[in-house]
Amino acid sequence: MNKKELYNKIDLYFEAGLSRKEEELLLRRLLPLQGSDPAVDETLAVMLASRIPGKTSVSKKIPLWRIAAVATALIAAAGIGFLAGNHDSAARGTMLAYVGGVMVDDPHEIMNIIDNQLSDIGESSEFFARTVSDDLDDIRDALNSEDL
Amino acid sequence: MMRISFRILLMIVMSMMPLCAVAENLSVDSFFREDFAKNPAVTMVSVSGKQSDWTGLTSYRSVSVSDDDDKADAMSRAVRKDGAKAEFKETSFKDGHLHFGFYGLGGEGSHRRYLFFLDLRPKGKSKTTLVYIEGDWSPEEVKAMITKKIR
Repeated sequence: MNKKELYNKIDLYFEAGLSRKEEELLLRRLLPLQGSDPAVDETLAVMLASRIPGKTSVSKKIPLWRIAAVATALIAAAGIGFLAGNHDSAARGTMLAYVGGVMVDDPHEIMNIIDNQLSDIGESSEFFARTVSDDLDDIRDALNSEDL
Repeated sequence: MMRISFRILLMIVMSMMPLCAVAENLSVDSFFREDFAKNPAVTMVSVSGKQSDWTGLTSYRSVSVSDDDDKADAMSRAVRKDGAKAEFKETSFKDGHLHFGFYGLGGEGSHRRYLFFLDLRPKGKSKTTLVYIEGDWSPEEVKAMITKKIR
């Protein structure tokens, strides 16, 4: 289960959209991840609190404002995490590459890769523009032809 | 109670703003993930946040596939699927296959989104490239940036 799927399951949990079995599976999935992610910790706190004898349903026992606050934190964390990319903080941003399955983080090498990729595309873009222009010239010539 | 409900709703809406910026799922998303990038036939680049300031872009992602027709065909299908929803497109086909595509996927401000696709098969190199760009650039500026890279 990747991070996005995990966050989806957490959202479903707070929306009471998981069956009891699915909640158990989610709890087992989250326990090893404790301490790695604020959203995971928040969810574990709620899940474990609901297991105190006498508590039967999360949605009934947890105050609405707390559910909303946790949901808000999760959504914001998911958004920032998605934008930041691979494990780097949003402040630093992301700059990495993979070549042949091997990670590259040398900025100069990454710039070279980008240059090569964009060169091919740039040539095709220019070729495309020239082709369109040539075709339109041909059509214009045909329309202006005295044979019509 | 009303005041608390409004505050909660406002918190939720504001927290969703960064997610909404990239909320629309694209079929090409799967080709920019790390698990796809680790394949030997794939070259992938991801630049975002402060690291992309040199470009003036919010996000730059590219992926190239060499000598792998299955992956290249899958990319082409995904691009055509996303391209069907594009606000504008410039495309050319060769031998019935999508050869070149430039798509504007909409968005506003620094989240205007574009896709470039180039398939050099079957007669050229066996290389297929997909580029995703997000930033406060007009289509003309994006094309100018791309064509400046010609050597």
